[in-house]
Amino acid sequence: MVAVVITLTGLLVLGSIFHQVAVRVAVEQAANVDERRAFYLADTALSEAMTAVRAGASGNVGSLATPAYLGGGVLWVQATDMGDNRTRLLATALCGSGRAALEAEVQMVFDDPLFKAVLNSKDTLTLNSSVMVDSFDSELGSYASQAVNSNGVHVYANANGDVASNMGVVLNSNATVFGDAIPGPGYSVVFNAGSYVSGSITPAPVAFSFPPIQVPAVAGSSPLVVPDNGSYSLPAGNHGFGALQIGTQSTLVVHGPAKIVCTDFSGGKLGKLVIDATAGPVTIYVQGTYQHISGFVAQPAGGSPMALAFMLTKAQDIIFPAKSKISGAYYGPDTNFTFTSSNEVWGAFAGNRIDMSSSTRFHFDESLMKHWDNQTSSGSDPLDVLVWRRAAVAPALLVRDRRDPFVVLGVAKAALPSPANAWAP
Amino acid sequence: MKPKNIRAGFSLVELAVAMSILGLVLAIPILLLRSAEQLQRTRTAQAELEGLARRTLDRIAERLEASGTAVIPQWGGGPGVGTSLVEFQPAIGWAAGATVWGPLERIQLADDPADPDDGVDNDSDGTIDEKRVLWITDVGLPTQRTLVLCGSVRDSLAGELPANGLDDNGNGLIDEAGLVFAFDADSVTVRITLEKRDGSGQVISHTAQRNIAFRN
Repeated sequence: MVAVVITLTGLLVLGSIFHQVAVRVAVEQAANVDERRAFYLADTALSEAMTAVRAGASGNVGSLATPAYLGGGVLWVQATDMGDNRTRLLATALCGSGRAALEAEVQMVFDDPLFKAVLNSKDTLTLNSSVMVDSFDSELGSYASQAVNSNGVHVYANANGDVASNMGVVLNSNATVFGDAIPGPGYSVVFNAGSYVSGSITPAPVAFSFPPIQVPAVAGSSPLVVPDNGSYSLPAGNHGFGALQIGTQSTLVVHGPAKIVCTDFSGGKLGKLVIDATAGPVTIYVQGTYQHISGFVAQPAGGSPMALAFMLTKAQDIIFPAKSKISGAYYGPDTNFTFTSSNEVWGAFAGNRIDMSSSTRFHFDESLMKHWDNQTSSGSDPLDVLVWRRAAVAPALLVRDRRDPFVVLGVAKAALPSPANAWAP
Repeated sequence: MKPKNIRAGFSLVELAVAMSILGLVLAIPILLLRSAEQLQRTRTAQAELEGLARRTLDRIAERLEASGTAVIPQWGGGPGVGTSLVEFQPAIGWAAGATVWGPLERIQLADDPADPDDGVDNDSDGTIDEKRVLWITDVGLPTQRTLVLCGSVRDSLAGELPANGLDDNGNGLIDEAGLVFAFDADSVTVRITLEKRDGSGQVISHTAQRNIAFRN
């Protein structure tokens, strides 16, 4: 009997020891897991704050008083505006006994819109004598209806007709710009007799990047030929062609939003490209040669803004015939544009080099910047993470008090918002 | 009348049988207890090694992920190249258009002073030439401080034979030590093998690895 009691007591003692060891190990492992979970929650909080910053919000997510709830823990992010589009984000997360804080400094990098100026060239931009530049907004109606201002011999619409170059800007005699003339970094504007710039002539702080054209992957290689005196209509959507040819006195109507990818483009004599952009813009990607024959015009359908852009990927020289009336935007990082006598432009041009005859008139369409902004030009994430590091959890009380976060903060789990619903001003 | 033969107590045979049964009753739980204890020791030692490896990799990750390839001299060795020493600077802020880096730090494998690298079990712990993982902060400054992240690191990573010029364990590294950093384009894979003897003298080991992405 005694032996049995001794044995059982021994077993009890050993069992108790094993139990205590197991409990201690379990507690230690749980604490370790909580620390990891808190870290991942803090990382998630940072991501949420970055999403908020991308969307134009402050980056604040929840707060110490009202944190966001996720995955059994709570989190919040405090955002501090550091100026120069920089934001410091301090994310804190509590999960079980785990506590973690991460800090990141992020910066929104805004590319210039593709069509930030009526004329924008890599090379030196020379405005020939008596050239006139102003602006209007095709969303508000025709240029003629907005050209109600006068300055000396010129009647103009708005004074946002900027011209820009990554090198110098030269204004020959009597050239007039109702807007800014922006030379590249380290360059200047050269004035000749009677030339005038209504706005700034301060050089750009950085050169325009002329981002490469991202041609969308659109299937289709058959040519689209609108026969002479014929007409054709393209619905909204993406279209792929081989050559796209608008014949003599023919009409092609394109309904936006649309992206058209083709090899060569030819606008025939007295042909028309009618753009209905009431539902969205029209972008034509030309991977081969662009040909603009005398009398070819692009024009908006009734009530539509002139939201048309040609994206020219090939290095080429484009010469607009005399008396051409050119509407829309043209972007060709390796294209040289030449405007011959009596040309008039309603839109914007960005290219390698831009030459013009005297008295050419340029009217910048201000609505273009809305349709082809920096997002569609480069397609890159505008948010740069400048620095990332672990930070001290604050207030320090949270480190000392390792009880359940909902108890420590005095909040009810059911009353807390999700991170996406916790964006704060 | 003949008096009745009264037996007062157990016979010798009865006692022997009783003692044998009692011995069996006592021996079975003791044997079971010893077996369980042995198993418990092995499991505990294994759990300790796993925990130690995990904590060590956590600490290494905490330091390295706040760093960047621009401030790691050992980065760029290429595929198949591993190192047991990595120097780095953690990011501490952003100023004047550039990352502000903290003082130089180093994580390295080093000999255990109690068991120098001589092929002998100098400290009689059952393992030979085991190493330690050191974390050295403020390298080269008066405030330099050395912290031992863990001991019991094997001389070579599990499955690897030392100094034979071969990739014995097929992980792409040749003759790697018990702690090894292998760099990728923007991350580092850390592998560690720990070993020790449990209470019964049996050598147990545990290998863990972790991929750490640089955030800066």
